[in-house]
Amino acid sequence: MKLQSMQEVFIKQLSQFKSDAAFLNQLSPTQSLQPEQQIEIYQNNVRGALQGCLAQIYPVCCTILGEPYFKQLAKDYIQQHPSRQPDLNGYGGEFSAFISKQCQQRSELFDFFYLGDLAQLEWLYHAVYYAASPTVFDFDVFAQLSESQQASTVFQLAPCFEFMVSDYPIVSIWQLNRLNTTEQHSVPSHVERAGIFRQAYQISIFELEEADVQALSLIKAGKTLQALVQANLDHSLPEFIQKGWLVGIRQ
Amino acid sequence: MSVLSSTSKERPISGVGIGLRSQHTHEILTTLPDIDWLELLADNHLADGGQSVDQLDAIAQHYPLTLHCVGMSLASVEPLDLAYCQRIKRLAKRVNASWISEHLCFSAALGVYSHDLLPIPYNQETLAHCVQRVLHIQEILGERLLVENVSSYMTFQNSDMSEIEFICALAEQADCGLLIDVNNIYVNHLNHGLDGEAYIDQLPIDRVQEVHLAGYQQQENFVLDAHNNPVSEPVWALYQRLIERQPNLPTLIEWDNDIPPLQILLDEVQKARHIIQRVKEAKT
Repeated sequence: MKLQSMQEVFIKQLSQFKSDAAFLNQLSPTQSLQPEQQIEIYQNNVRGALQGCLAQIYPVCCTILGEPYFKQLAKDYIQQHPSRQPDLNGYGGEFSAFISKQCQQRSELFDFFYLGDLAQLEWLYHAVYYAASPTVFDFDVFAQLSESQQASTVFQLAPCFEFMVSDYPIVSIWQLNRLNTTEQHSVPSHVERAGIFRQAYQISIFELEEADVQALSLIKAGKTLQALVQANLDHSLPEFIQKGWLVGIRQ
Repeated sequence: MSVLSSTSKERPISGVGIGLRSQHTHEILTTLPDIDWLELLADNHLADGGQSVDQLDAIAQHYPLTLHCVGMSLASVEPLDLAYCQRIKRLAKRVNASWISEHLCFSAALGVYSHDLLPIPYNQETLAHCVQRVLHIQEILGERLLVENVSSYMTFQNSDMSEIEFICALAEQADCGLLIDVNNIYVNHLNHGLDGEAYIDQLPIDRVQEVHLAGYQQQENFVLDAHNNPVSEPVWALYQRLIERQPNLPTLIEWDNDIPPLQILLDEVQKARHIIQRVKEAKT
């Protein structure tokens, strides 16, 4: 088997957790390991590393489901979503969509219908942890603009700020389970809007008002100050700047 | 020798260091323990921001640093990930890393990354590929790469060279440096019957620029290079054999899993220093 074929067959066996008979024929037994055992060691290493990575990114989901079930779910995810980048910190971004689907398909997960959104919240927390540190908003730059220039200004969100809206009380669920105070057996269905922000090295998750999310959504979509004023959503801008959620402007 | 610069001349590395892990970063920054240098797992510091990135600047002010990579997929037949290599180069510049090292293995194929150090057959086809790959990486980095021997749990029928023959040929043909992990030699001795002493004796010592020491974990029918235990006595013995060939080899204590209090690593640093001292005294 040539080097390229060997590597391709090898990697397929790792993500699918199956062994390839032709590949095993290329191996020699060692003093203590048969070819099947040799490939199993690498399969276990890869699975363990990726399961550990997912448990680290999604600790609250793991707590709610229990470690054994979470590990099985992670194994299924790894089979469907092998890592496609060298940076392990970038792995696991599709877990939220995966878990949402599982919650619709697996009867034992029907009561955990909110888990997809909770996973999304945990992914944003992870992203915020590794995001660039914010710069300080420069009021002088804004003040020097003419009135028409100010109207066409687009505000920039801090890279370490994220937000999301859920049909479920994910902020409350996250906080309760993060503190290990209780398990969620019954979740009332009401909307919660989450903000995630890193200040210095501290990340906080908090609830946002509906109007704040509307304004932040317009800013994220690149709408101008004029558009915010027209939508009557500009009144929170000073507060956003003061909190460090907005870091700059562009024309 | 090559026109490539071998290491940063500004911050030469010597003595015994440890691999920097996030669990110890705050303590190191606040107590500045007696460690000669630190090695960064480069892949943990490639993000745009966050605590680990910000703390690097402070760490770099106090300790010489080296970069240890796991993502170059040195032996992979896939196209080289140029963006990854450039990120490593930028990180090395940022922290003024004295050198960059990577493992002799592949980790990716078909666009899938294993995040593990996967073994390769030792033969002419693999050698020719690895030589070209290392040369390309060195061209991008603008400096000589250190290539590390890995522990392995697999034996390929189409290997027609020993590991040490392969490494010697690679170092010579690619004009690269070597990072010798003594624990990996011992793990391969236990799993494959490799002669660790002969391996040490055959190393092209002038190309060895760094030594790694770590602990392994006994499994039911093999040993795992788990980096979760103190350095074992047989590994210390092999290390002494290597140090007797070259007493001034920068040495690193690696501990990646079940990470203990920093003091445990500092104790391991002292053990390595004692061996170096003993060997130097015996030579004078």
